[in-house]
Order: sequence, then C-alpha cells, then structure tokens
Amino acid sequence: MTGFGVGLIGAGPVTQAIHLPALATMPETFHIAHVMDVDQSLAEQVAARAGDGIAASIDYRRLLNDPAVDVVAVCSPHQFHAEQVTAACEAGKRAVLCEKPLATTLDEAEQIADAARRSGVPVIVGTMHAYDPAWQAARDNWGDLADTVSLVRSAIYIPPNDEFVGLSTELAAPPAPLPPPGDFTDPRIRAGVLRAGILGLAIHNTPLVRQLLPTVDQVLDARPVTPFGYRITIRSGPRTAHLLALLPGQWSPRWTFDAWGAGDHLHVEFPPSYVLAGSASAEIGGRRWATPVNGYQAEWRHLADVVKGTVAPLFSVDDSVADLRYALAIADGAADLLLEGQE
Amino acid sequence: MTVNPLTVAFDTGEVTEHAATYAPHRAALASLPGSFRLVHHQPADILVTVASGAGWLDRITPLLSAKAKAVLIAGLSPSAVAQLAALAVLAAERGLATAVASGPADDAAWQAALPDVAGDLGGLTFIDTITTAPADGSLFDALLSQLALVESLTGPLEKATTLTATATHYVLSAQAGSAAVSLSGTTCTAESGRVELDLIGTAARWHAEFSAAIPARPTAITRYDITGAQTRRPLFQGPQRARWLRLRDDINGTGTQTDPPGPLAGLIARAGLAAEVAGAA
Repeated sequence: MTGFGVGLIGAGPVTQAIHLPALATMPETFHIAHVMDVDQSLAEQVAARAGDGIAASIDYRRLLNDPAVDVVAVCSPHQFHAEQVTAACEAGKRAVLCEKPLATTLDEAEQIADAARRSGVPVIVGTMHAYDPAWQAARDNWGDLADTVSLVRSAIYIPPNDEFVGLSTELAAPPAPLPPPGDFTDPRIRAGVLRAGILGLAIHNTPLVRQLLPTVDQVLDARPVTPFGYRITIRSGPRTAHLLALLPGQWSPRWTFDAWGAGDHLHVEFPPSYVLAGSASAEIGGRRWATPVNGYQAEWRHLADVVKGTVAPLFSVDDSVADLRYALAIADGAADLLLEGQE
Repeated sequence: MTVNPLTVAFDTGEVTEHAATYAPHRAALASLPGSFRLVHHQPADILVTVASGAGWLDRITPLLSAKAKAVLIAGLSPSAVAQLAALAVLAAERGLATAVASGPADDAAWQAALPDVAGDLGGLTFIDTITTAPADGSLFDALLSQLALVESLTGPLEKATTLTATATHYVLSAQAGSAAVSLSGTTCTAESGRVELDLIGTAARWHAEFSAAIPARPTAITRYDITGAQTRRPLFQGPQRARWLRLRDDINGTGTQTDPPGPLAGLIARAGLAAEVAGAA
C-alpha cells in the first residue's frame, strides 16, 4: 500500500460520492484502510467496493485502534463529530479531516480544539470552497478588496442532491429519508429549519464570508423558506452580507459568491456539492481562474502536505472554531429574530 | 398617413448640469427623426427635464406651452421629490401626459419579457436584485431605477424595510405576494451601472442582467426550468429609445398603455422610499 491509510467514519453519501472518488484520484498519496458505519452491511459493502482487504467495522473505536489508519475522515452525522474527532486526536492519528460543521456547539468545538492542541494532531474541516483553487487564486489576487468591501452575497440555488450524488457514484444503499419538516407556522420549527440551513448549507460559504466580514455584529433579517432555504442578512461593522438559498429546484444550479469593494467586484461560481469535475470559476478585475482540481481534492492534497510537514495548515483548528462560532452567531441571531416575532 | 414629428425641448435652464443625463436621450431622439424633432427657443410638444432643486417646478412651468402634450422626467434628485405631487396636479389640469425615464424598467427586452415573467410570478420564493453605482454616483438614483424595475413586474411592493443604508451600500427587504424581495445597491467603479435581477421559484427561475453599457452589451434575460435555459434574443436598443417610442405611441394613441395609470404616483412613492434610504445613509 502506498501513501497514508485513510479511515472513514460514516459510509453514507458524502463518503461514497465525495471522498472515495476524490481519494481515488490520489493513489500515490492515500489508500483506504478502514471503513466504519453503524450499519454493518453498508460498512462492508463500501469497504469491499473501495478495494481488497479493507477493514470494515461498526465501532469507530476499532477504526481508531487500527494501526493501518493514519488519517481519519469523520463523515458521520454532525452530532457525533466532537466525540469522534476528539477520540481520533487522542488516538494519535496523523491528521483528521472532519466534514463541516466541525461541531454543533461551541463547547464541542472547544473540546476538539483542546484535543488537537494537546495531541498536536492537525484537524482540517472539509469546507471545500475555502480550499477551492479558484477561490484561493482570487483571494491571492484580490488586492485591497478585504479592506474596501461593502457588500457580500452568497446565493445557493440547487436541484436535489440525488442528481449529483448519482453522477459521482452508485450508492451502496439509498440514504436515510429526511424527517418531515413539521409545522412551518411554528416559530420554533422555523428557527430549527433556519439553523439546519445555516449549519448544513450556508456553512459551505460562511468561512468565505468571514474572510471579508470578520464578525457578526447583528443579524438584520432572517427568513426560512420552503421546501428548504433561507434569506439572511448580517452586518459586520459597516459591511453587509446577504445569504440566500433555495432547494430543491427543477432548474440548473446556480451557486455564486459575490463581493463588491470600492473598485472591484469578485464573482465566484461554485459547482454544486458532489460534483468532482473541477474547481469553481472566480473572476476579479478582469482576471479569471479555474482549474481541473476540485475543492475536495485540494483539501485532501493540503492535508497530505500538512501530514508530511511541508506546509502549515491553511486554517488552524482555532480558525475552524472561529468559523463555527461565526456560523453559530448567525444561527442564534436568526433564531432570536424569528422567536421575537420578527414576522 | 404621415404624422408630423413631435417637437421636443430640453429644460434649458439645467442643460449643462444634467448634460450626462440628457445625452442618451439626445442620442435616442436622433435615432427617431421621423417621430421627434428637437426645437430650441420655441414651444414644444414634449419637455424633457431633470427634476432637481427647490425651484424646479416653478422654473419649468413657464416652459410648458399651451400646446405642450407631455413632460418626460429624465432624472430626479431628492431635493425635488416634494414637488412631484404639484406637477401631477398641474399635469391633470392641463391634460399633460407625464412619463418617467426609469432605466432598466424601460428596457425593450425586459418589457417584451414581462408577460412571460409575470406568468411565473405566483411561484416565486425570492426576488433578489443588486445594482452598482459609480463611486461618486448616487445610490438614490440606483435604488429609484431598481424599484421601478421590480415594480414593473410586481406592482407596488409591500412591507418595504431598510435593513441597512450607508454611504456605500444599502439592503432593503420587501414583499411581493409570496415572494421575499431583496434590493441591494453598492458603489463600485467596476461594472458601475449594472443591475442584476434574480427571480427564484422551485419550478422556474429567471436571471436578468442590465448593463449601463447598453446597447453595446444588451440586456440578457434567461429563464431556467426543467427543460434547460432559454435566453431571449438580445435587442440592441437602450432603455431611453424604448421609453421615447412608448411615449410617442401613447401621445399618438397607438400605444398599448404599458405604463400604469398616473406614472407620477408610482414615482412619488418610489422616490419617497429612495430619499428615505439616501437620508439614512
């Protein structure tokens, strides 16, 4: 086996349609060593599909005890991230890639950060847009945009994920159905939908927003929409960000990030999640960037370089905690607005 | 039947100050020599004016001859908003038509698309629009034309609320039926004068881009649905020319009356909101 052995905690669509195909493009750097899922049959199927002799288990502790696992990818439901990432750090693994969000509360995130600091294990959050080569190139070339930016807009209009999952893999088993949305007239339900929208969808771009609006001073407006989505406006000092999302739609996707400064307009078009066909397309000041390497590959390549010690993490675990704090501030502010009877 | 061209005079008192505002109208009129003829120092059928300054209405009233048929407001400053109601009264007394140059709302491609866009209106979740003004430009103007664009589709917006307004940008929220409306504007020297409009429903969505460089970069309007995307054929015609054609047809009684009745009433409401936002900044 060549490269680092990867242990995957959680064998659902994210593992099957994102990480396995992405890792398959880097055979010199990574190999799959172990697949864990609480569904034994699923773990065994996914492990068998990923190659010969790959271990499968239903307990993440067995995966962490497997000496063949150098690097752990945590792709389980959000509420398990803190426990599993912390345990991976304590197990002394060489690095952890945790799917976003890092955790569901700030306390959990701090617990992870403490474990990462104590163990020295790098923890990288799978915010693929932040690693996207086109985004990175635009960021390296945006001059004084971060100083002059006044308005940011993140717009996510996408069809059902199934369409893109189906183009990335043949799922071993259908994903678990989503729970019913509940009574949308109940402000608590609406606040819950908003929170799910922020931690499950907006979080793809909130680390990018934070690079331009460093704080969440106020949530000015928040509205969940059906079938799923939101419209949220936040203020950071004199700057404003406007976050919109709606899915599933019947049309072609549109996933954009725009920032306007005094003299520049940054425009980025991201591919939908699960699409592994290249980077985003980013434009600013008449220059444009796009590469064949997608954000998922870029985050794995970066993780490999961090493990080899050739680069420092692009985002420290403290950065990742700050990203989560930012997203939670939006979620809490949005919930407060709804529960105060904003509408 | 040959119809004599309608005569047009510019509000000469402010020609120099507002030369840039008048320029595209002069170009549009020059492209319609069979319909309009510029006149100087004599009564005209149509007076073109920029409503600006505390004494604006007093100044233009003597310029409205007995034969005048219409006033076209090519621009508006917050200082003249309060005088619009008096102009509406004056116009009603004299039987004058009033028209407002509204930028993207006048765009011929947008006007042609409106019936189709309106067909999707009931299914929209979001109406989101953003416009950019030059660094030294007026966010008041930007919001005024943006409101005109959205209201040309939705009619008067409900629950308009200013979420933020600064010297460099604004964000407003409003409601149009079931759709949540967002209107954002910012100063930016890159692509200044550009307006983007997104209409988002789960069955269909629209994306329209209006450029200040019209007609060199014509308005692009695309509808997306389950079958794909359909972009409407570009029309290399600026909104000012389209505005003049509609005014001509309205005066000659050959138009389809695409303007809502009493265009000044809509302008007064929009200008009041835009002035409030500009004032808050």
